[in-house]
Amino acid sequence: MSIRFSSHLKQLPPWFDNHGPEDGVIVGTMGRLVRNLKGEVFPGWSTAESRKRVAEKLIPVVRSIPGFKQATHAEMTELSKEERKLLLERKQITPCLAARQDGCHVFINKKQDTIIMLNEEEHLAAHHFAAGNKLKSIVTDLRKKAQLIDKQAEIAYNKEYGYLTSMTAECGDGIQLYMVLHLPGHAMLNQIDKLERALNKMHLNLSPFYSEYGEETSNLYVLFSTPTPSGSTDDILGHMSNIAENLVEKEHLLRNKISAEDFLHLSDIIGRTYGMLLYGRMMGYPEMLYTVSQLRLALNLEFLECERGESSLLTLLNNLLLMAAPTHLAYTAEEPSPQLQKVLRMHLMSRVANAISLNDDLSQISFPKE
Amino acid sequence: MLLTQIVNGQVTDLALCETCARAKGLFDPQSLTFAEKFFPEEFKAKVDKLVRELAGGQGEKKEEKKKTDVLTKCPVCDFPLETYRKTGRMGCPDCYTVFSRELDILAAPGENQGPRPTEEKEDQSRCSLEKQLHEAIAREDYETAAQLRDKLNKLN
Ligand SMILES: [Zn+2]
Ligand SMILES: [Zn+2]
Repeated sequence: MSIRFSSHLKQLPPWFDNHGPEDGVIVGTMGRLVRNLKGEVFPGWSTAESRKRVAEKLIPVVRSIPGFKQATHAEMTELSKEERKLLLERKQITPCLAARQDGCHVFINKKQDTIIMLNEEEHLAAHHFAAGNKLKSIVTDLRKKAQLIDKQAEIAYNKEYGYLTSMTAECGDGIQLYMVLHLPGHAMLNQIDKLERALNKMHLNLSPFYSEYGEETSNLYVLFSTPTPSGSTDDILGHMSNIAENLVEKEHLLRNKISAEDFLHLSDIIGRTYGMLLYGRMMGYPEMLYTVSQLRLALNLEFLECERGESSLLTLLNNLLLMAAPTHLAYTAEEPSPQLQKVLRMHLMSRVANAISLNDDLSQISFPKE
Repeated sequence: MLLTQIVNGQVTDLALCETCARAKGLFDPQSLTFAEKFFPEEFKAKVDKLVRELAGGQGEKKEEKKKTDVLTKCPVCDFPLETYRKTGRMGCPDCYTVFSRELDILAAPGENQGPRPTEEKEDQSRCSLEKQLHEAIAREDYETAAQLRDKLNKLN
C-alpha cells in the first residue's frame, strides 16, 4: 500500500463538514455511474488477466477526470482486510469491491466525495456523495464524468438497451440515485412499512441504512431508484426530487405531531439521552446510533440548543459516527479491547454534552398531577 | 451470484471472488494455458480443420442451423445461458447479442415490439460473431466455434 493511501485513511472525509438543503431530514445524497468496455468480460465472470487489461485501458481515463489526476489510488491486492473494512465503513468501496483482488482498483479524490472503482460489479463505477439534498448537482456532475469517459474509451452500448451492464435489469443510462434519510418521526409512529409500500408503487425503494445493527436504532434509511432505463434519468430525477420534498414535509409533520401529542414521552427520551451524555461511561455502537438519532431529533424540535448552531452539531455528530464506528475505533486506537472501545466511544460522545444544553422550557417541565 | 452473496451478507469475513468462482468451477483461467502447453499439435490441427471447414462448408447441414437458435453459452466468454436465466446477469457485453432472443422474451409487453433486427444490427452481430469465432477457436472451444460458424453461414 502506498504511503498516500494510509494517510488518506487517517483523515475523516472532508465533505462530511458540508451542509446541504434539508439536512435535518436528508442526511446526504449519492449518485452512481457505471460503464463497461466493449468486448471485455464483466468483472463477475472475468479472469485476473481480463481484469488487468480492463484496468490498463481505464486507469488513464480515470486520471483524466478533474480531481483524479492526483487522486489516492490502490489496487485491491495492496489493501489489507482491515483497510478494506475501513473503506467499507466509509462507503468508499462497495462490499463487492472489498472482496476483490487482481486488476480491481479504487480511486478517491482529495475531498473524498467521489470514488471511482474499476472492476467492481461493472468495469467502472463512480460514486459521488454530497450532504443534504443535492440530487440535481450530483446528476450534472456524473454526466460530465460520463462524457469524458465515453469520449476516451470504447464503451459497451446498445441502441435498444442503453449502456450495457452485468445485470440485464440495470442497462440504461448507467445512473442510479440514492438518498440517506433520517426518519425518526415515521419510525416512532410506525409509518415506515406504509411508506415503503407507497414508495414501491412509485418505483422507488426504501431500506435501512445500518441493517446490521437493527433498523430502528439509527432511524436512517436509504431511498433509492432502480438504475435508470435509457433516456429516463431526467424523469427519475424529477420524480425522486418531488417525492423527497413531500417526504421531508411529512417527516416534519410527524415530528411535530409527536412533540405536540406525546410531549412528556419525548422529553423523557431526550432528557435521558442528555443525562447519559453527562454521566455515562460506556457506549456500544448500536446505542451510539440510537443516541445520535435522538440528538438530531431533539435539535430539530428545539428540545436541545446548541451554542454554535444546529449545523455545527450535525457536523460533529456525522464525524463522531464514523470515528467511533467499530473498525475505525479499532484502527485509530490500536486494537483496544471491546470494553475499552466502549469507553472511548462514550468519551467521544460526552464531548457533545459540552456543546449543547437542554432547552429551558424542558428543564423546567412540571410533572403531571395524578 | 457470487457477488450478491457478499452484497447481502455482512462483510465481516471477506470472501475472495476468484477463489469462490474457482471453487464453484465457474472459470479457470489457468486450465486453458495449461492445455495449450500440453497439446499444441492437436490444438493447431483442430484449428486448421475448423478453418478449412469454415472456408468450404457454406450451405451444408441444414439441421445444424437450428442449433444456432439455442446457443447455451456465450461464445465470447463461455457464460452459460442457464446462469442468466437464474440470476439476470450477463457474462460480457457480447452476451447481449448472443442471447438477444432470450432478452426479447423477457422484455415487458409493449416494449421492444417493433421490427427488430435492423440491418445495422445484423452487421454488428456479424462483426462480433467473427470475433467471437476467433476467440472460441483460441480457447479450444470447438463446439461453440462450430455453432458460430453455422450462424455466420446463415447470415451469408
Ligand atoms: Zn466470491
Ligand atoms: Zn459473453
